[in-house]
Amino acid sequence: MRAWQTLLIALAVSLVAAPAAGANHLPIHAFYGHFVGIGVANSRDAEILNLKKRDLDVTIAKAGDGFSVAWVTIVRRGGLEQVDRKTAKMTFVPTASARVYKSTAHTYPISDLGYGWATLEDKTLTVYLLVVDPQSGTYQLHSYGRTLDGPDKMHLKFTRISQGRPKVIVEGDMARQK
Amino acid sequence: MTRILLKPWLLLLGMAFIWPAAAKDASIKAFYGVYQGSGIANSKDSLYFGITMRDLDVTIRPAGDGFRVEWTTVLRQGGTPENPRVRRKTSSISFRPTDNPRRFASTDRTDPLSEQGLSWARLKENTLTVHVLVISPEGKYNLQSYARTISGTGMDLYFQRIKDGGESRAVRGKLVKVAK
Repeated sequence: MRAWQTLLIALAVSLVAAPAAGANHLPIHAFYGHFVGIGVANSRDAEILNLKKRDLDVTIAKAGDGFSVAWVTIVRRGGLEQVDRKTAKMTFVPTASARVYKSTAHTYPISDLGYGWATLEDKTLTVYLLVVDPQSGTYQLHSYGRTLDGPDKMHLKFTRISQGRPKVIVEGDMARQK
Repeated sequence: MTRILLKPWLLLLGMAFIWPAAAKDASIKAFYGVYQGSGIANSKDSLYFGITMRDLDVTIRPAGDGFRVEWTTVLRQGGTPENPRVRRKTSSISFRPTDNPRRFASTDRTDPLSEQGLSWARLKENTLTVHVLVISPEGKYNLQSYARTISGTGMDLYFQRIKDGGESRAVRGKLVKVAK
């Protein structure tokens, strides 16, 4: 076999073996696990009240055809004294779109629970929650982008938009617990 | 004289005249009519390509127990001064009352994962705000808000669009009421 024929065959094999362009999204099971870390809030109120630091804890697990995300956020004054603890859990099921999941319980925005959905893009799993205040009709849109940086590290970027304006941004890094 | 000034009932009477009245929400009926005007778009693109003018038509009518908003936007962007490129877009949404008199739910846009999206409306003072949320097949959101404030002569519009990733667009417009 000539050298150029060998090269052509090698190229064809590599094209077949390589993932299609744009299709390198991580599978949802890559996110399964328990991650713990520290986040920092970037907002004027958090700075004035000395409430910038947060303990972050998230567990992502398989649930039926979809998955669940349970998280705990502990706000500490000056990074020490615990002043607030929030827990939340959302379960998602697949939709007709391959990378979009919808919440099983958060199904209507004009309610206390709101409307939740999740997307998977590249290495980031983003959970969205839209809540419309039933009394005033004003809305808040929360997004939790969790990006895997290697198999055991996760970066969180949380944004809260209130009536069209970004209000709170929290960023932090977590490590997988074994 | 001092004794008269300190009488509590006189004080209360004086306060009733001075105290500003609490802002009341307009009735949805006050918005019914046909409005025409124009608006100016402001976005990141506007900095490079100039501010975009657009013609705006809005009709708000009773529909069933609720109301229907229909609006047409005519954009003139690109092309030549003699032959501008014109785009015309018409949309409509119907709303029904909810248990809260200031809030309305859409009857025809009820699924954010569909092409039509999900819509709701709120009434506060003289402003009727219509929100539309559409989630794309990739999961990206597009949240649009149309705040329409009625005044003696017509209507002020403030439109805002927020997209995933922070890209946003705003349009401010003024419309005149041309028919009831």
